[in-house]
Amino acid sequence: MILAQVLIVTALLAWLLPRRWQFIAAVVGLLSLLPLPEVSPAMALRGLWGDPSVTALQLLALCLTGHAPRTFLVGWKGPAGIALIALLFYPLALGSGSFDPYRLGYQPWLLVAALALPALCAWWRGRPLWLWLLTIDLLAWAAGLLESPNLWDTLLDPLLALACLFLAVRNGWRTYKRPT
Amino acid sequence: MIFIDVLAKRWLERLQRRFYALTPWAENRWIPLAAFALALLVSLPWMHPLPAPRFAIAAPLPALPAHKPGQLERLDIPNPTASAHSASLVNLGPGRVGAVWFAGSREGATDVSIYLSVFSGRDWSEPQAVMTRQKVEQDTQRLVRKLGNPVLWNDGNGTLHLWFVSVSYGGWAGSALNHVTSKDGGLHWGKVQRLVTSPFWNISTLARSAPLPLADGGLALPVYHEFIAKHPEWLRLDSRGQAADKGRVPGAARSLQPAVVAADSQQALMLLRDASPTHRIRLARSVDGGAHWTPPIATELPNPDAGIALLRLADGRLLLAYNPQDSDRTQLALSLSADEGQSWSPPHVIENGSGQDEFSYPALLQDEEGRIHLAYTWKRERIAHLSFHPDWLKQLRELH
Repeated sequence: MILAQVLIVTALLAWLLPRRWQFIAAVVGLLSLLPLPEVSPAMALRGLWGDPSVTALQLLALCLTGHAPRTFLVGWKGPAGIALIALLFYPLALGSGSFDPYRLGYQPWLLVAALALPALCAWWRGRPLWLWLLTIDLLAWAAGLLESPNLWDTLLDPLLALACLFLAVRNGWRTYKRPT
Repeated sequence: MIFIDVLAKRWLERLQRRFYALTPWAENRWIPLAAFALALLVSLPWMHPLPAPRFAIAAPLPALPAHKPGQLERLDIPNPTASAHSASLVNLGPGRVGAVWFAGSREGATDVSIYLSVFSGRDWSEPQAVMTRQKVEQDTQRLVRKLGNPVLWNDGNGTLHLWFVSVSYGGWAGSALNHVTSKDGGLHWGKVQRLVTSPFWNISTLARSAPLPLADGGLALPVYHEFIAKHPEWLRLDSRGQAADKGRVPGAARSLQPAVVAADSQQALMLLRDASPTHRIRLARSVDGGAHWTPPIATELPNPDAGIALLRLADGRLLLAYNPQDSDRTQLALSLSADEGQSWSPPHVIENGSGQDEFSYPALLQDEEGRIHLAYTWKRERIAHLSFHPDWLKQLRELH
């Protein structure tokens, strides 16, 4: 999963660079695998924030191939939903109180049921994105793609939560404060 | 540069055309539902709730012949570096004991490694660095700045398990757990596996005490969390050593480093280091194999926010090694309990220093021949080792 760091570096640089220079992002991303005297930049980043979730990988791949979902590109409700879940989830999982929601991710039938319901509703209304994301997350989890056997780590990671918080604020601002 | 840019764009356009050529099937409304059903089917085997945990109770050790209470035998473990801390002991066969600890120029330094030495019954072997920062970096493919808190365990089937923490950035609160095994008594070790036990960049889970074997072939590893809120946790590992479940001890804020012993297949007792102003060792109990714990209560036993060691002796009594003080680690003592931790004998002081002396982080073990071993950090310079016949404990019982 060290390659996931390449994807993150590439996506971050592609976001910062002007469109015509975006190929540099891919080059720098690949260069991050080169071992410096001790570890490669990709290993240094992996030490910092670990592996991204499969949800984040899917969204990064869609963005980098020019298929960023409108739900995230211009919408605010989807990103706000993920950010809200993260804002509730992380404090509880880190020890605020006796309930640990992270535990639900080990034998996650309840968690899957809770996520499948809104994803199926969205699919029924003609928005299959959430069901696709959940489907690929589940397949990756069953295949043991990540180091973690906990489904939460496949679904969500702090970087994704931060990105969603940013998108929710930015897109919400653009939606409601656009000059008329 | 413009040439490369044009080439990259053409390549991307070709890739996109091929992708679009594949996408019509994805336009079908029912395809996502079918894919989701397939994903559910594939992942169902991992979704079943685990069976209720039960402790696997080891066969009782053979009773040692009566012995005249002798003296403590002291033979410190040689340490090749300036600093040593946090020992863990394990049975390696009749009369043989293994010890691991972390050592380097100082705690938290980048030159710290995890060392292993084996006690033959007469002396300790030359310590070997069994886990270095560089090996952990290569095996886990991530930057590692420091190593600490090794826990060694013998599964009785010829495999030694070593858990230890590593930190990539920041202090010990940024620790993550690692697991590695050896099939040849510690001469060679396999690939280090990172245990992911926390959703927030996998910080911060630490271990200090030996695991308890479970009847289903898995293990229960007492761990603790330090980031933002210190609290103990109960990590259930499957037979492959993967995290399978995690429990929290209710009302246990500001307590850490759980040391746990089982009484039978269902009941267990947990003692905790206290990081609160109360400065008393805390006690929690479980009657369902560790699935649930009572909120910890403060015992009479002092604790200067320092590690403890707890051992169930072959005769069923509990032996505790701890610093019997409120504020520093200049003393190390033993206490016995014959009533499952409800009362303890007065502390029998093993070390009595002064000033900045530190005797801390004890580890206890009863070997296969019945002798009891105590290892602990001696002034941060080396690991001290004491061993004694169980009858030596009579002097504690007399005070009880």
